[in-house]
Amino acid sequence: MQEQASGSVSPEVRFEPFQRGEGYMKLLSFVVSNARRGEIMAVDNYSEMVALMPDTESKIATVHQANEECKHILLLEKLAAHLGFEIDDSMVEPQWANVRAHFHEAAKKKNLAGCLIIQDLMVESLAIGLYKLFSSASNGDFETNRIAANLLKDELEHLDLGVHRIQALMAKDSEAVHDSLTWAHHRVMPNLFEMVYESCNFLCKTQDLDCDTVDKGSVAIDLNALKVASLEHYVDMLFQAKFDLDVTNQLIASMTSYEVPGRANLGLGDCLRDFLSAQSKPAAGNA
Amino acid sequence: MEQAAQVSAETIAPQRSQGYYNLLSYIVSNAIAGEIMAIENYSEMVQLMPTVAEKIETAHQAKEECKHILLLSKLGRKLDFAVQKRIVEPQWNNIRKHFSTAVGKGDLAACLIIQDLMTETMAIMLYRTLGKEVDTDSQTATTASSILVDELEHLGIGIARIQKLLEKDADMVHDALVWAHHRVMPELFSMISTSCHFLCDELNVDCGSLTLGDIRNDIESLRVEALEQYIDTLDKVGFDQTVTNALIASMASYREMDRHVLGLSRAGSPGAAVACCGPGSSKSDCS
Repeated sequence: MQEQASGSVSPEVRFEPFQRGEGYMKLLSFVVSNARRGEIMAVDNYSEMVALMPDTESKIATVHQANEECKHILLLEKLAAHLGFEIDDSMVEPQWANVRAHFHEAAKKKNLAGCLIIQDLMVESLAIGLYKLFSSASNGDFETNRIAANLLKDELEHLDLGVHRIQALMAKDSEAVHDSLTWAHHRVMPNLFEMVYESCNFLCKTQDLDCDTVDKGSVAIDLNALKVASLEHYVDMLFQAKFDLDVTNQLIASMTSYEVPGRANLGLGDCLRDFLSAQSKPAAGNA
Repeated sequence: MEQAAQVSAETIAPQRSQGYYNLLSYIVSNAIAGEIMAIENYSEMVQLMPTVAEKIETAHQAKEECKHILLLSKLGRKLDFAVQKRIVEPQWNNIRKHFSTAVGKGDLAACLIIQDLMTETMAIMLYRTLGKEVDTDSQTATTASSILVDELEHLGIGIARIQKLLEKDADMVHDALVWAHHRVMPELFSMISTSCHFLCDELNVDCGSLTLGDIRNDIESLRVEALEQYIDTLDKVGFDQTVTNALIASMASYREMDRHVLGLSRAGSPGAAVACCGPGSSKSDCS
């Protein structure tokens, strides 16, 4: 799978000079600060995974992944410096630390499948959702668009590599891999989704910024869209990796509980039900 | 691809004795094992690094060690000798285990001392030896010299990092040095030898025929050089000499270390070829 950054903007396209208001810069600062935190966690995760890799070639490939994530950190920092907004650690959401802790727990147990599922599949799915949103044709902020498209390419490769690695492990011991998936799903996915879900509230609380009303000019950055996009990528990845549908369907169904009563309903439940009904047909066919 | 890389048809090996290539096969395979350990050590250390810049620098060090593995493997292909691309000798696994213990304790100073100072010091001695074209051959010397540049840089980084930690808490760093010295240095010095546990069997090399005379060297000279390099490193860091003097004196107890190597008596005759210490050999065969 070498999916291209769909809708990414080629350098030849001409753009009107892009005006970035104060609110939009704050929004960018929030998104980039969190993306950078995710990349830092990825450096830690991939690096910690190296020792678990079964042969020298896959160790080298994993070191290479860690170094790509380092490159992403530098690109995001460069973007911030170029556009003139702060990388602000006070804007970083607390769930990153939980995700990292769960990864570390899996690494300590030498649970390679758990590590791969958390980093290569779950975290990369979120990263892909984010970078796709920012590299889409509807984003008129050229600089942001270009960087996001660049990062997206690497993250898609990492996801692809992760899917292959997981499939290789499943060929050896499917039950152990599915146990790891179930464990990782219940530990990590609530954190990742809470992060995406709470992003607007977090901004409102810590930065006094309403992300719905902020003037984004011609930018179509919709954090609500990210919630659904990340979900789509995660579900898509589960099917792509060819996990057992009996297991994945339960996991997907469990995610409806993430949309707690009282919170603005984004139609997550409907979306998940659509996925499940769409997947039930190939499942019947496979049986 | 974990088998000993077999020779290719297109080789450009200079005319040297089979003993020379057997020795290179043994030394280069052991060097690759050290590089694999280094990849794991640097990668595992990333999570302990206090700043993002240091995480990136450490991930980059791991990447450089990956490059060394590829360079050494390529050398084997070019010169038509077999190399083993996995850790065979148990000393590497022992050092790796001690390193992991230090990571588990969050002991960054011990990690830096083991990898950046102790292991790199031995690597520098090794690549300096192989880098002397007059004793080896032009391709081996070129490869070794290229790797040596990186290892010297890593040592420099390590010294700077340890000096920073010393400024903060000298007692803690000296405790880490004492612990690491007693755990790791016996393992490293035991590898300055042409005897082995399993490596020669893996390489199909007659262990008893290996002699450093093929590179115009001998075991005792190498041990002296390694010791001098180690002392030089300790001095450069600026450790307390009352601590380091005791540590150096303690090395007289190593089975491999003759008193004269430590300058405690006059040098004896140069070491000859040493019998292989296969699994069935007695300990006395291995000295």
